[in-house]
Amino acid sequence: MALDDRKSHFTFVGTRPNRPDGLDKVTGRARFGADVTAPGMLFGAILRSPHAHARIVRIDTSKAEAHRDVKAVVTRADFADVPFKPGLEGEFWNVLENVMAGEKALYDGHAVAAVAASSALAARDALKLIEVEYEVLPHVTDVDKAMAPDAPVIREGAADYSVPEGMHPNVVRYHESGHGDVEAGFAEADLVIEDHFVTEATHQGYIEPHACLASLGADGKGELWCCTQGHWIVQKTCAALLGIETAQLRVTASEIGGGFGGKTTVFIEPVALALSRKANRPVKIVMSRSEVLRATGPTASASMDVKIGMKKDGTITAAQGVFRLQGGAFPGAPGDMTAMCAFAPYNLTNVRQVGYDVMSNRPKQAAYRAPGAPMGAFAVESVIDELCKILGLDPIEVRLKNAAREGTKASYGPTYDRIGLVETLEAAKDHPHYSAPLKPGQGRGIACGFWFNHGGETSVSLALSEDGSAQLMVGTPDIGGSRASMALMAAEVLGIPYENIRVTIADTATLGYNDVSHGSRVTYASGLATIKAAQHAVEKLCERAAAKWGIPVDAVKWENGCAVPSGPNAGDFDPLPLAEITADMGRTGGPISGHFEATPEGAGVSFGTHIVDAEVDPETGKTSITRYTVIQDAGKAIHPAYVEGQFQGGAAQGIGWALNEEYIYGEDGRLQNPVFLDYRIPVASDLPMIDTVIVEVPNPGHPFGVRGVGETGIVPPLAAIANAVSNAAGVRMRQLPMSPPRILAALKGNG
Amino acid sequence: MVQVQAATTGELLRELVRLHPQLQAPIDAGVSVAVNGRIIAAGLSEPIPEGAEVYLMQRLRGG
Repeated sequence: MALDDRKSHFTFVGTRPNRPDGLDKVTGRARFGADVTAPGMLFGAILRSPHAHARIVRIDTSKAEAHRDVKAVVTRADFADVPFKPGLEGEFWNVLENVMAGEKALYDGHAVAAVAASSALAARDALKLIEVEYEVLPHVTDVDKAMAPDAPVIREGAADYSVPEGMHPNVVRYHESGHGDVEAGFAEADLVIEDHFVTEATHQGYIEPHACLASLGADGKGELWCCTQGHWIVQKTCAALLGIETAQLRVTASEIGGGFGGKTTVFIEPVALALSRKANRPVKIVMSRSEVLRATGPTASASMDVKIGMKKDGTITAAQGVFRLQGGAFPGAPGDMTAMCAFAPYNLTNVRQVGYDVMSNRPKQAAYRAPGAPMGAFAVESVIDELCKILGLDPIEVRLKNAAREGTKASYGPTYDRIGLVETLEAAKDHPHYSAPLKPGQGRGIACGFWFNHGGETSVSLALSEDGSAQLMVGTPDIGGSRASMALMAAEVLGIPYENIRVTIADTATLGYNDVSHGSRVTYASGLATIKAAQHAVEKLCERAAAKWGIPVDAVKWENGCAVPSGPNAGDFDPLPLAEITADMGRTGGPISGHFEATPEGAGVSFGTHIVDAEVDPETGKTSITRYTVIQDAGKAIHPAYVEGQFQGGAAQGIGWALNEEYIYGEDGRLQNPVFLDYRIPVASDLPMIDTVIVEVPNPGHPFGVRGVGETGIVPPLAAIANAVSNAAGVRMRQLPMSPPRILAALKGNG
Repeated sequence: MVQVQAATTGELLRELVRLHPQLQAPIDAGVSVAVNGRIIAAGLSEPIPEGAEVYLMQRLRGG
């Protein structure tokens, strides 16, 4: 896509106006997933497997169906009985298998049946009337054990072309990449460290549980309201799973209380639609927190081996990593992403990375901010920290010495365009945090992180009103302040105030397909489309001015919200403001709108560097984060307060992942901690003020230079915190989370 | 390193499969194409300039 409209001086972009959804959210006017009702609405509830792995021998729903409050019961048969569109395979099949079990229950919490009843209580009670006979099978929940020869097979034939012969059937995808000769590189090193690292699965931890209201008639026409990061993928997936035409299902995205990648797929929505079709009434389903933790996507857990060679001067001579990720009972663990991102910050002559996607009896993993990247960074940045420590080198200087820059051949293959890693490292070196003294018992950690970012299918429309205000329709749910940044970008092009623009997340009937709000793509891709849509409207505004003035349209230009003659030869006319043109638009050619749709392919990769101070209590093993600084390249910060919020959010979630959050499975394969009391996400008192530094190295692929910022911020924290804790405790921490019992065990093991 | 003649990412993938049928499975599974370092996640109509560095990667996903 040609970008001949690059801009570097801004009026509105870079300011910090109030968020447009602020009043709605603080007054309770905002409508989230569970906030809607419909006449005649029923309440749905889902029966879940108590077993980690079991054959479903028989399901008897007759008693539930006979109950007077129950209006419909569905099982997998209610999906399989409908004539599927041809091609329900691959990920659609996996999603169907996940939202309603087929022959086997594959994890603790797997849906096996659902009811719709006249009250939520009646629905829950009716679940007890459903009789399921299970044949319990051997299970496995650990990634290394799932790869072992004696591991129970979760599904034969799930592996794709990439898996080498002889691997266990639970290994379903394999990735290998790199360049140079790592063995020769290790031979050149003065010091080689090889170490093993483990991370546990964590949940995205969004505050709003999944919720939806579905209505589907026998005519195949439906309406669905749900909290999601992408309602077009919901529309497409539900239509496929229910055997209806995509366009007949209209999906509206609610306000969303967090997603972080976990709301990029469906869980309850097809079930609510199936119940509604059977009961011929609207059906609402709201998940409990326990259901969210047991049955919606946590991230993958990982087992990793990293080996790095370094010369005494800090030059990395070779790097190698093996990354094994389990993603539950379905293909999809991002072992390939872990492998490709792990060494991406460095300019390496010799590098090799291997990634495994492994199935186990856990819930189907879902994306979580930069899926796969934080684990790999934890392993790699820990080894680099240890090398620096033994060789007596400054960790920032070593990273600067080896840093990737424009022209570097990336560890994952291509040559980098303009990137901003060095700028983040220089900013870290110069930041007062890096030179601040530490108190006894404290340690400091540094880590870098990388994420690809994404473009994706995007469609945006803008319509001007007669009073000169503008309504902007975008298709990407606002998960991080995008309504504000879209309005700022539109204001910049139109030259009208931010407050005069209302941004709406349009439903699936209003715009063409929009990819999910993921991959840090929204400010980049919807932003690019917003700029182009606004420019499209400006072209029409200029045409109306040209017609009014009786001069050629190329003699008119747009400046500060007005049409003006493009030069002294174009004629002598007073500037014509946007509102004067729109006031007459009905009589000068009709409504004025702008539209743009494309799949922008210039997202621009992003890097960050984090500095963390941690204090470890040797009595209790508790870690306190005493200071935290995030430095990240945003390309161009459209609304800097939101960019800082993304940086802080990544760090906060990283602190949880590093210190406390983990999925704990018992010997029976059941999740032991499916409530927030036992699954401990950070609360305000766990966090210091998280300082931020926005670095701006413009992305050549965006008119204003934007790079996505939503994901990179969670890549360095696990590593930076582990380095800080290891330095504070005097012992290398190789397993996350670094919860008090693990810290105490490490201190004891260290004598 | 393989050599094919192609002016767009779509042509590139078609030519690769024609000359190297064993690439059908990985390409069907999803690939991204980096052209001079710019990662094209899925687009088939992106131009490939003369002499550009082209690199195939497993398709990227995000959260």
